[in-house]
Amino acid sequence: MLYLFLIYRATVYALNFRSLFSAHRLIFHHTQHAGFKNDLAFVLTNHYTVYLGIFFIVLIGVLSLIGLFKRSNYLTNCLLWFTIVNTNNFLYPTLTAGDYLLNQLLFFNIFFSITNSNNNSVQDVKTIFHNVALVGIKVQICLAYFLAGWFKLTDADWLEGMAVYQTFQLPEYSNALLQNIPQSICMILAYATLVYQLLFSILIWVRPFKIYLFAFGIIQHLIIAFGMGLFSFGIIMIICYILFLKYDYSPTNFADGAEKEICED
Amino acid sequence: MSVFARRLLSFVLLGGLCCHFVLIFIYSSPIKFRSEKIKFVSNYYTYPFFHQSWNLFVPAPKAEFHLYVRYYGKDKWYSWQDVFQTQLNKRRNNPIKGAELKVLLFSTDMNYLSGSLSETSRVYEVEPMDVNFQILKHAVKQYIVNYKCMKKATTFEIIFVRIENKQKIIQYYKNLSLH
Repeated sequence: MLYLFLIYRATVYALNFRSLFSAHRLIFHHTQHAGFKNDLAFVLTNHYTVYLGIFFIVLIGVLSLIGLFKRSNYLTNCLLWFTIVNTNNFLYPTLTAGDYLLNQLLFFNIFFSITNSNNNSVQDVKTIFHNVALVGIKVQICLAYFLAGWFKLTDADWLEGMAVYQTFQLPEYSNALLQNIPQSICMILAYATLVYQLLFSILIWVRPFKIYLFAFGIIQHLIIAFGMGLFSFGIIMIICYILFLKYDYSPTNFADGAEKEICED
Repeated sequence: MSVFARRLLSFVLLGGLCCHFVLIFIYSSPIKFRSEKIKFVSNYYTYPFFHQSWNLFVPAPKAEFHLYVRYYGKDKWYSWQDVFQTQLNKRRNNPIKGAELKVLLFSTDMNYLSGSLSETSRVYEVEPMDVNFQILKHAVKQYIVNYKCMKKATTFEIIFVRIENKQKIIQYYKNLSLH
């Protein structure tokens, strides 16, 4: 699912190459050197050429295809993370919180491996990395929701229940349908979102609540994707739900969806 | 691998994971930490690879933007066009084709400019050197070159409109060079 999304992303980049990656791109860039570690995340920005732009897009496509066909390994996963982080930093004005979450998902994806080793010790080490990365992904998603809810608690418009209504009145985040939702309904939606985000990180671990949480979340993010126009953000969040659900019932490779036996300690 | 070795490795990795999330929490939570050392360590660790920001729609957006553009080429001024509205319409018609990226790009650039706007409407005969304006100007200029095929156009103008709480601020930027 994640690899499919990345292939979609690479296609969108290719379709919008002129405005995003060409010499006449719309994004304003200046090179920034801030030490070796930071420079690694700005390779495309600091050493931009049209050919490097093409190379990064092709690399995203190829590495995602490798993952989709279950041929990925630690190296290809690491390279994919590096490529996406660099591309995202290059496209900084077009990013949403979903893109930053994508960076984190791909970071933990590095530690997943679908190939089993004949050596028991190596297999044990791989399994431990796999399991810890799995915990990392779940904690990252919970942290994101908790912080998003916490920030909303500091804002008067959210506490008064007006935030959703105000947002839906702006053409940038709305459509004819959303603009006409009565204020009272928007107020319920605002409080429901607030409660949902604050309680997500607790209730997600309680099995009976899980299905309702996911149902609400998926509807909410479909509205964000297709109603509010933040398509990528909505889809990335839905991918997170799918990962959560998948790992509840079968321990599989997170991005590949390949079945993998996990040895419990 | 012995049970002890497996447990030790799990313990070390989970410890590392805890440190990872503590530093990210310090970096991106609404709490303002007083210690400069803690802030420095969390910033150094988190940015740029683990950078994240979760103040989604906080504060809730209230400003509506319009970005009118016209350009001079082939001995005439072409009519005004709301570039941002055009992109919004494209995104509405087909949200999966990628118009979202251009909407976000113009929106971010206009939000940057909006942050440095004076609260009164104004006409700029000479282009301001404000970096936020330069970022928006760059996007509009390249948009004209790329999408209007106006490589031979010489001059363009921007009217930036921000409507918030029924209050309208209009900034008119004249005599902008395309070269």
